[in-house]
Amino acid sequence: MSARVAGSALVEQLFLQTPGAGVLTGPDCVMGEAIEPLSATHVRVYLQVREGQVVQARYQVRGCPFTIAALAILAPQWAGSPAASLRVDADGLERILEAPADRRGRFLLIEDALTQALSACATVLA
Amino acid sequence: MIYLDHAATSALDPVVLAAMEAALREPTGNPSALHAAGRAAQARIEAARAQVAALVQAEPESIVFTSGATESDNLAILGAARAAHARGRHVMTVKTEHRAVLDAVSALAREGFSTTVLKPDREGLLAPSVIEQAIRPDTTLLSVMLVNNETGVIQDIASIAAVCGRRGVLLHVDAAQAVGRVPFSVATLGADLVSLASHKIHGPIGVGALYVRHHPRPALMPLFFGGGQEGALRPGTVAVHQIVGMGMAYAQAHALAAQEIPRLAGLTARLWQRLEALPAVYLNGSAMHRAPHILNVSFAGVDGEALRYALPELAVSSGSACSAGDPESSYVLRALGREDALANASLRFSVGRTTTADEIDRAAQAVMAAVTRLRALAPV
Repeated sequence: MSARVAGSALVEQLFLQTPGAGVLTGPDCVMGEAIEPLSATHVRVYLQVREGQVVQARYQVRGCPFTIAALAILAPQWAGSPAASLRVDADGLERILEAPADRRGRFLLIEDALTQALSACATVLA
Repeated sequence: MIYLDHAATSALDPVVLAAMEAALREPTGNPSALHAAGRAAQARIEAARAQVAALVQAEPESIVFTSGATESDNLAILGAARAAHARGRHVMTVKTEHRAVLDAVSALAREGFSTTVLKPDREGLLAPSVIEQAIRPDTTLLSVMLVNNETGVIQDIASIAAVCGRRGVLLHVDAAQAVGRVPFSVATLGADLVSLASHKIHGPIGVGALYVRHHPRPALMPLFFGGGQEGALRPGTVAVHQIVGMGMAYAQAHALAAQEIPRLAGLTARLWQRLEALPAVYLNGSAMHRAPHILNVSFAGVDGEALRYALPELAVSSGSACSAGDPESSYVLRALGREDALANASLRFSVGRTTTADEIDRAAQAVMAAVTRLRALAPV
């Protein structure tokens, strides 16, 4: 991600284009989700995993523009990576997206969804 | 940019601007001075006072100029409650009032007054029977707005005034959103004090007025001290050009009311007709008792902030008092029973003199596209 891209413009671009949005279904796919009731933010992370490698990653989200933009960054990055290496860098997202500090909770919600997906990965796909 | 935020503020009418410019170009005269320039300034103020009074069918002597409806609300609530404190120290208002009213009532509570905040029904209406039951022997004041600034709901002030009159309780009405959109006369309204705004109807910001019933005149304590201007209720050198502007805005609203009010109602009806084609959209507030210029709609299944972000071409207000921190959904919509998430995913559209049918159609199209896209992105 270019440091020259202003946060707000980047958020706008990701919000409009939502790369990686969608659903994955199939025997080698898992899903993890997390909900924050107060703001009604709802995140679902889908991973297609073969032999420990993430083939594809997708997401569904009802959330603020920063939450959408964060998922639009993460999902394309996760594809091609070892499942065990996936993580959500809340500090990095906050910095790249120039997000206000109060959005950290939304990024941690994505982490919760990812953790659930990875745990499903360990049990379902083992 | 499609401007649909006329309930927040409206652009200065060129006719109003011309009148203000003319007033500013006149030789300087303090309206309190007895020389010719002072008398000329005073004459301009009295002409504006008559224009304001004419729109609400009041006696000009009952109009007190202030810095805006917020000051008018504060003067009415703090001034009337403090003046009547020997008779009683209980004041009442409604959960859905503007912050200017709620905060003034809170200030009275901090001074030791007892306060009651009444809850409207799910349509945003306050039944006179609710007021009747809440009035106590020591109640001196009730403040209820005529048109709600978020939902556009119109209260039955005449019935409320009848209860207040029977029980000896002063009635203050914030009519900032009603002026020029919902025709009313202060006599038929029956209120003792009525707050009036200027910039909501294409007048200047920084000026407003308080109607203070002339016969019998309620006792009011001023908020400021330092002169006898405006019946000693609002001391300080009077801003002649601002008042001239407000007067002209009221004259324009008066002249255009017959054609403009049905046109505004047609625009909001057109917008609602288009938006309700979407599934899971909800009109906030009474469908029957509403002002022609405000439409407040909740969109289920979308995040409110994302919805607003997806509509950069629209100038609308949200159902959210969103600040830099966590967004707090509208207390008005929550008082009507809306859940936080739905209250947060609400938009207030408010139309005005410059709004066109084409803008309404484009706005509806943009909102429908944004809602559809965000719902498609969300988990079912």
